Amino acid sequence: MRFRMSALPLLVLLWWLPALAQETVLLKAMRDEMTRAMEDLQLGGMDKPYFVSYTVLESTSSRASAVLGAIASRREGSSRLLAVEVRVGDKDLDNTNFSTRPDFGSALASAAFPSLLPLEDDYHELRRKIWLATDSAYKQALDHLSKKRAALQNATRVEEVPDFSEQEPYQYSDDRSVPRPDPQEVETLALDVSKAFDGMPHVFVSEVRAEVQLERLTYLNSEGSSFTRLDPSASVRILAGTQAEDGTALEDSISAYGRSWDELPDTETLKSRAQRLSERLRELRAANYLDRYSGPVLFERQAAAAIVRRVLLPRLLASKAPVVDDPRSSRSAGRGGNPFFDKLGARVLPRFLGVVNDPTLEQHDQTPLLGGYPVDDEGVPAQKTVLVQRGILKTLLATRNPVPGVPASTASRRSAGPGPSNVLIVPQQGLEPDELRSELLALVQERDLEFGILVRHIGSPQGRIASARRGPRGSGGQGLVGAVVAYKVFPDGREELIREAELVGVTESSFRDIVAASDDTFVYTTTFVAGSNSFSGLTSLRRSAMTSLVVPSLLFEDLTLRRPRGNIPRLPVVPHPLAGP
Amino acid sequence: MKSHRPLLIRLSFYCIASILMNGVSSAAVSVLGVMEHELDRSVKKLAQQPTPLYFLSYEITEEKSSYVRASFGTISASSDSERRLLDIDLRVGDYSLDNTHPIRERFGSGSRRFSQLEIPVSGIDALRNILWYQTDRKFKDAIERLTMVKANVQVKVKEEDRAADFSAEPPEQALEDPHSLSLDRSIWEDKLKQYTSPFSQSSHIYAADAALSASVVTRWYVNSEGSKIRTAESRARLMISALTKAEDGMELPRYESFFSFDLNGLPDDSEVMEKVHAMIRDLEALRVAPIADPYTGPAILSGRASGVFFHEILGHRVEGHRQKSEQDSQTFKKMLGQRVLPETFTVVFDPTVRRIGPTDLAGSYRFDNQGVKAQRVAVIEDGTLKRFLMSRTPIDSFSQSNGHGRKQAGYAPVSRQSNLFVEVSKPHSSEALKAMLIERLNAENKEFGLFFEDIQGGFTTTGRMLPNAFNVLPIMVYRIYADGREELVRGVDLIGTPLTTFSKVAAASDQIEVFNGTCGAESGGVPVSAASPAVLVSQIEVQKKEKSIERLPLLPAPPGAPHSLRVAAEGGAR
Repeated sequence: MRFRMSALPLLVLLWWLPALAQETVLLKAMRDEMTRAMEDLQLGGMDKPYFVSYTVLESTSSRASAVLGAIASRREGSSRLLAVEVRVGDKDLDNTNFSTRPDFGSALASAAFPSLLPLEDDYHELRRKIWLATDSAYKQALDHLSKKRAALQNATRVEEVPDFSEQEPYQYSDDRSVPRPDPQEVETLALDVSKAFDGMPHVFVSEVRAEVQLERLTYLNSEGSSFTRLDPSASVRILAGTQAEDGTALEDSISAYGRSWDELPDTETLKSRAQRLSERLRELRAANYLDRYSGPVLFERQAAAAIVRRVLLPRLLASKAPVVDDPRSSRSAGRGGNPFFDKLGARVLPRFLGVVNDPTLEQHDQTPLLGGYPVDDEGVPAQKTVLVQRGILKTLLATRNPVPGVPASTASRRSAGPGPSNVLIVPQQGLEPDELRSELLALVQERDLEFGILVRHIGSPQGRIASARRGPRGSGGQGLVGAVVAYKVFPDGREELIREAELVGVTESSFRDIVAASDDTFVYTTTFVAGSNSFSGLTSLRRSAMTSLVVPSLLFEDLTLRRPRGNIPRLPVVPHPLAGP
Repeated sequence: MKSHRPLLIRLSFYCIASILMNGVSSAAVSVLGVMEHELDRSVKKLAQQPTPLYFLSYEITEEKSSYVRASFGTISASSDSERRLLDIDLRVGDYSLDNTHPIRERFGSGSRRFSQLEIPVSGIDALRNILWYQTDRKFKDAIERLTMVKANVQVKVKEEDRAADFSAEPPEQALEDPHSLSLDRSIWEDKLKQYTSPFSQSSHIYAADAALSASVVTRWYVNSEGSKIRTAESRARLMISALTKAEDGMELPRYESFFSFDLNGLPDDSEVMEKVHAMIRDLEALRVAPIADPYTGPAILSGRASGVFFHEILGHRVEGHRQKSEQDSQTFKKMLGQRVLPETFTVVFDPTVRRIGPTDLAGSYRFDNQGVKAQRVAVIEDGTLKRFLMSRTPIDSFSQSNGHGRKQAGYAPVSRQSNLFVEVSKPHSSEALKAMLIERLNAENKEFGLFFEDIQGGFTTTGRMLPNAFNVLPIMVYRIYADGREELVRGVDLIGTPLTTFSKVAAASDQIEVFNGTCGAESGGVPVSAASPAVLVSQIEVQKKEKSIERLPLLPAPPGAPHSLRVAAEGGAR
């Protein structure tokens, strides 16, 4: 909206990346090097590659951050990165799913990192870089395969799961051109929204970050799959921090996402959201503590989506622990094993809830969903996956790296590992919001409690101001969820804000004890960084991707909240400079 | 109360605005004005606290820079950046004992943490807000740390060096004109493409990059003693690097770098291209050069090599604060007034010299990072150790700074080197120096000596835990045979221990060469230079270089690259 006036001429003038009428210089260079690698690449009598893939990530971004109407930092950049995946051995046992000490010994293309490709379409230079990167990746693959075979020599593999799953070749090409926004627009938005904190000395620190990014992923593998996919994104994040009247550090943030700059809320909307954030901090500063509470907790809208994102979602991903060659690191590699691996076919949610992952959806009830894509990062066409049906766990989100019970890809490779796209939690018999609240109060009465707890907002763990003073706060440890805006709800309907509370012991099994859900759902978009480089044994372009959650309000029967542990910092000695002389 | 607030805000804002009006010119002055205002406000309040503040300084470093990089004739990166970093030095206690005093523990002293604070690049309210907020944080951390310091001083044995923690220095005021950065990107992109495309003629060269970085650094400094300084400076650096690999896997790099305070002061295309072609020739020669074995005997270090040699073995050991640290081996602490080099040698650090001959010196500055004026410091006069490089951290023998308290933005300053000059009173011609080497070979009955022509840098350890050694990393090393013949070799590093090596320095040539570089130590990376004649050392030692175990690429380079000599690429076979 805000954009339309000034941007119209830009649509005509500035095109990002040319349209793909025919095979690009880049794709040709990739294809020619791949042919050579598959035909000729072999060291002595050792294995030839049985699979090679090239992924090139081209990205252009503009970002700016602003504080109180002044630019704090700005950054614009373009890059072109190449990740090479070379597999030797065969699909049952290859060099992947293996973790060993990384080797950084070479100044030439190191297989452990993506290679930097030239920004220009220089065919020879592109091939030269791809050649060196393929060479390193192949040598590393041979090294890993022999080490992995050695590590498995004296062991009997209990779970015979292949290292790589079969997949039909698939081609896709998106030759749209996406207009590149003016970096000035990004700066102006950050600047304008940051002024919302002017004249609010109760907010000690604040910052607004705006970013627009255009990514194009070009993929080619030796099985015949190839795609070119556009991933445009835009985001604004508003952060603020202060100290309560007794010194407790308080921080909060809100974010907005879109597929393009135009999809972001306009400046005025963002400013009023920032003002609401500032008001919330003002109220929190003066609110009372809650020492400890165990009992029913109702998560409304954003809070429900955020708790699903933080606790349940990571469990729905099929990422497996690799083979390790050093017994000392095997314990750490095995740690964090997903308890849901053993829950396939078991009940993980109440019967009235189901979970679906659907990258093909573009919207839900007219609200855009941003986690979708036509094809995943391994060239597997997007598909809908039912994860939980009537409370029973059916499958997990998987890449072509199978885990026991999940033999094939669900088209969920997002950067370095499996990741969610659009995740929908669908209630079968939802309650009206009023009914849900009555249900909470009924439980309160049944437990003979003075009040129940209603959670309206959960801060994002990334929403931190780097320079802000760290207060006592759940640091994301086991089952701790901090930055919670919660209210006491009394049987007479009265609500009272609680200053700082953290949720204790919330785990995936807590979700089985959800007693009711609302019939309306909330769409919550956030980012997710999939996978971990150290575990896959392959280079990948690890980066964050957007995911949208559609979640109803959720009533948990029994959770614990408490005042954050630790000491409280003192208030500033010198008064705020903008609070008067 | 609420209704008063907007009025008061406006009042204080006008108060700032009037400071600005009185200033000389431009927005740059306003930064100093805001810093001074916030500093006064904090000092007034914090000096009255139960644990009072006694010193406060703000330093803001603004860096506007442009970067262009090319590889084999194509642009691989091109960017602009602008940022400001804030450093606060806040001290509670007093000059003799304050919160920065090292806390002695078995491993390390656990002081001086790195904290890089990026602050808004514009805006008065935003700057005031951040100065206030960060000062408060520092103050609380300082009180906490002073309590720990006092406990540590009481429970541990008496310190060997009883000097104060901080020296009082006279206030300085200076206001330099702002600089601006103007880089014609397309011209430089073309230049860098031109500089890197000849490397594709050789299929043995696996990496070839040229990078230009141009920056303008503006520093604003205010402290509670009344100093008020603004300095501005441009810097430009062109760096060309290329890499080949020998058949045994050894990676062989070659670097050329050019430094100037002015973008136009960088060498012209023909001069650069001459270096590029020399690099290609050197790399082709290095790739097939024989590997040198560990060796001890006489050697000549070129001017650039001996500059780095003096920087590592002498420079780091005359940094004042090291004489105080009980983790440091303090090689020279008790040698003041003693002969450490031949009488003909004088070693000076002088940040006030901006250039020597046609070459700008990277280690020049007018004020150090503690607001102290830059000064010439003759560390060694006629072979005798006279003084150390001093920051505002006094040591037993020296109580004042001599303008060498330096740091990278985000670090706490310590005494660091600036421009190093090795001056020799009785120099010899290059030929005479070579003749002296051959004379020694004959006397010692050695087959050959070594000549270190070019180096990439070096490093040293000055602690007590590890052997106190240095390592100079050569790139071009020649054997000089008794008959005068020279032969290129590869695969060795120059090593040694400081006192022994110093006693072997014998003579120097009359040709001065300059090495401009960046020196990294506990206070971050700071630009430095070293200017020295070639030096004859009667005995050096070399050890084998660390080597890659990666094979050469299995497939030949992709076909069709312009001018590519494909045949030679087949497995690199000769």
